[in-house]
Amino acid sequence: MNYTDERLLDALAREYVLGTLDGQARARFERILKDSLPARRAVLNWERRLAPLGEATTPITPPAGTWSEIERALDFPMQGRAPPSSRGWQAAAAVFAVAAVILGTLFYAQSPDVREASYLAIVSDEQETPLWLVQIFAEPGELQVDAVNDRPAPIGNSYELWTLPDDGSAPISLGVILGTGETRLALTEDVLQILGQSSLLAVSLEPEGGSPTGAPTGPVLFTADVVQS
Amino acid sequence: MRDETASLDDGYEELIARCVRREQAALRDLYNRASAQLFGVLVRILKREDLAQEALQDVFVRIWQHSDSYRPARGSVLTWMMSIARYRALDIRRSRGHEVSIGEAADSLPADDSDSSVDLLAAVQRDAEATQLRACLDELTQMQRNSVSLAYLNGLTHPEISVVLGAPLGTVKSWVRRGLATLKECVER
Repeated sequence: MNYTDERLLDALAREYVLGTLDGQARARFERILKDSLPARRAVLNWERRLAPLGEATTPITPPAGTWSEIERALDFPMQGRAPPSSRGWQAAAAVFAVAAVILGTLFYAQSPDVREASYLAIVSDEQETPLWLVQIFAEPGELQVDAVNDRPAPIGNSYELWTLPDDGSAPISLGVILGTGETRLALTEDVLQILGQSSLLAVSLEPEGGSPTGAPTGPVLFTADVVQS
Repeated sequence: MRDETASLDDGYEELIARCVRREQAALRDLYNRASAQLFGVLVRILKREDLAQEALQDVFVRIWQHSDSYRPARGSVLTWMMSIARYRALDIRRSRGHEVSIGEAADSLPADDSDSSVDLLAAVQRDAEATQLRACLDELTQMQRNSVSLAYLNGLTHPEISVVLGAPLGTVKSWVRRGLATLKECVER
């Protein structure tokens, strides 16, 4: 079949957009769409021609609670996160596996820190690329944050690390963290205690120097599960 | 004029831009404003509210994950989102083997010829493209209009349309083909 033939492409595109292209023919056309700009243009043209038809549909209010399901599916931080027991130890195992790799890499890069962390977290981006390894030490209370994939904050901004208590109370700032290299932050007894009752960390984008209000003022960019070491 | 519709859409475009910057509140705003229209599209194709609810969740996850693929040149944000919803519903229908009742789809057809254009475009917003489409739909025969409507709005396949309209498969395919060809020629005049 000659897929560069404009009329054929147009016919396939309109059937595809209409939804009447099925089975093998559809699978083949979807493969073509990936690489063919003319095919994608043909589809776009049909979508634009037929779109006003679609707006004739009567709106129907979806069931309450649908939005919460979407938040859950996307892992948006909410008030009142579930306590660690229901998060499953599979998450913990995953964190340890990645942490072991990262710590191994850091070991060769600088003199090793032989203290053992009480809690660990890996902050990753949407593509699961690890960005920061967070180690929380109990005595003395200290937070060590190592940037794994250099991502400096945009000019005029700083990244700030927060802990989100399980009881749903307001996020507590752990401090500003750098997008490259190592950040060490002191932790008070109070904050250490709260960390013991939090299973989630979050990183927000703040004005340079951190939030001026003590609460996140910028968007929450990443979150991470805290696991006990 | 396009300028008017562009400013009407500004709210949505800003929300998509904020989704790209990963502002979760922007997705929630999109949900509050558009979920009813998207849910309507899903219910029309899937007929069952439980299936439509799951599909709506999938749709918003996709909107979030692919927010950076929206381009204004492709049309309005609402059109883009409704397209995601339509394709998702069609996929679900396909994977479930089209178990949705065809009888229910037949009920959504208008009773007589004079009403058909009006029914199809009852709630269409009054912009240049819709007016043009409305005029062009008048150039189709009733059967061509019904066939296109059953496919696009209800997500029926050719064989299902053939059952609903009580016509041979070849005839239905011909109605769809000619109906769309007329629409295209008319819209591009």
